[in-house]
Amino acid sequence: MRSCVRSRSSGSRVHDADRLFRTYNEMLVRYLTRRLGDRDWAEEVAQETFVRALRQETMTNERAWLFTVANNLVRDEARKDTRRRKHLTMLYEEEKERTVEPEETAMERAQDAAMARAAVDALVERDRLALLMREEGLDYSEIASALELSVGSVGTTLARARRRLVEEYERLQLEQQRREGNAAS
Amino acid sequence: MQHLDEGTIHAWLDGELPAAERAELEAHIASCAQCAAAVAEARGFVAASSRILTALDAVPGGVLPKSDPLTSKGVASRKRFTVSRAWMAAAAVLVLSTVTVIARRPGQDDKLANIAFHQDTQPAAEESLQRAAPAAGAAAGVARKDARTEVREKKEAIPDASASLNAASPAPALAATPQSAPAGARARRETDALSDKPAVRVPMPSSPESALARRLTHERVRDSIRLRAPLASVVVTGEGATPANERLGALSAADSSAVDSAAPQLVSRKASNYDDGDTVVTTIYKVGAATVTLVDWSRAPGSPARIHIRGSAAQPSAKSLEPVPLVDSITWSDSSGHTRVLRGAVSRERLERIRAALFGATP
Repeated sequence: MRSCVRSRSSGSRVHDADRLFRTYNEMLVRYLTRRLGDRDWAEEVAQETFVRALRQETMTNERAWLFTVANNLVRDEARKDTRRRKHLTMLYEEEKERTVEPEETAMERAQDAAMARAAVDALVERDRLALLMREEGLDYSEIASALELSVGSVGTTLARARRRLVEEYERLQLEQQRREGNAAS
Repeated sequence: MQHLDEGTIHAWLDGELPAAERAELEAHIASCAQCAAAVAEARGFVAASSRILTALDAVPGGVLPKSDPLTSKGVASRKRFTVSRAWMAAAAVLVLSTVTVIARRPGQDDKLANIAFHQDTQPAAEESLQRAAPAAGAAAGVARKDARTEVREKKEAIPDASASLNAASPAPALAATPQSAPAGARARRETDALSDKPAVRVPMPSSPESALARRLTHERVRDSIRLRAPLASVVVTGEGATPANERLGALSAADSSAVDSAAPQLVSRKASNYDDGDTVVTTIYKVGAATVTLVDWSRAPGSPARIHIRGSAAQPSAKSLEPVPLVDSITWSDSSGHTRVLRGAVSRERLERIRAALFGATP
């Protein structure tokens, strides 16, 4: 496997791989980080996506191809998710005593991120992926091809996704304020 | 032409509507207040959802440990990615000049961050990182993280993200060429640059334990947020829907000239009831040419009251075809058990005036 990669690194594809990586790595990693909630995991999936791209002879639409492959890799990885969660739970039990409480600002930031995460997770999968891909600048036809939707339904999908995301986030915010109010009194 | 559906409006705001349809839509919006209000609301959703998603960028890495100290399965699961690391090493050769120049300072920063978090565990953590990855992979991995940190630091210093990306690559031949920089990504960067509360870009701690500690705190916060679904939702549209007990009519008619040039006109109202007795009412008002959204959340009787006024950060719309006013909001609670959010593409001062028109004096 490794020798295969090495032999290719001397060919003309290296230039192409370099260009692909430079052009799409940032947006792909951001998309995956938002989707998965873990930057290291996101980077691993992105790298694996670029490795697959090296093996690919032709791509009609690079960006749509990369996002589709990344989506498939995440789906494959998700099957291992149960094991990962179990592992994290074990680590959590071990680390519970040693957990360092962050400063107040860090706490607020974590709350913001957690509310955003909860709001994003409340979306159905298709809406969530469409919105995250749109945020990375994919056009409607690219989103349609990556999610196997009709182009005409992308606007409706995005409208629903945005409305639900904002409404859910605002609701969580109000709930958080109420909790703080209760705690203060 | 019948009223526009939400999907068409979003397609238009995203610049994805064919020219003929676009012209028809724009003509309709100019003559239909209800659809103009829907467009304003959709703009708000586009901007707000972009802002919410940027909060997801400040997540820690290293949640999954580099080497698994508890089971051997964890190591096996990482195996498929050793190819990626080898590939990264190959890629690293191509950016070698970049890496050698910038690998120094961030390394010190990482070290400081580790000391701050887990002084006693840091050497062990670094050792495990080295053990976990093949030598070349480890070198590439570390270099990659440093490079990323450096690029982020430059981004904060220079608002133009693509310019700073180039600045981070000293070798001209290797300079990044954003040949097809997507509009969305560009707009997102503008959002970051203009926000007074930018997405936080902290260097990734290389200690899995400190990252885990942060992540677990993050998870606990998240778990504490209870998800609910409304039991019932009622949508009311039209002017006749204003209830008799609402102060809008009398107050705004009497004081409108004093507080704002135009009285707020009710466009639509939607109410949702939740299982614990809470009610959330979302109302859209038209005020002159602007449209504002009022979210009124009332808690079940008996809950303690709290007075609190907070303004949110002004945010530009992420994607649009024309200059768009900033979407702002104010949030306040009062002794009657209501918490309200007033949001719209108008100034904070104007929002305050509209609030005064709807609810009277400042609580």
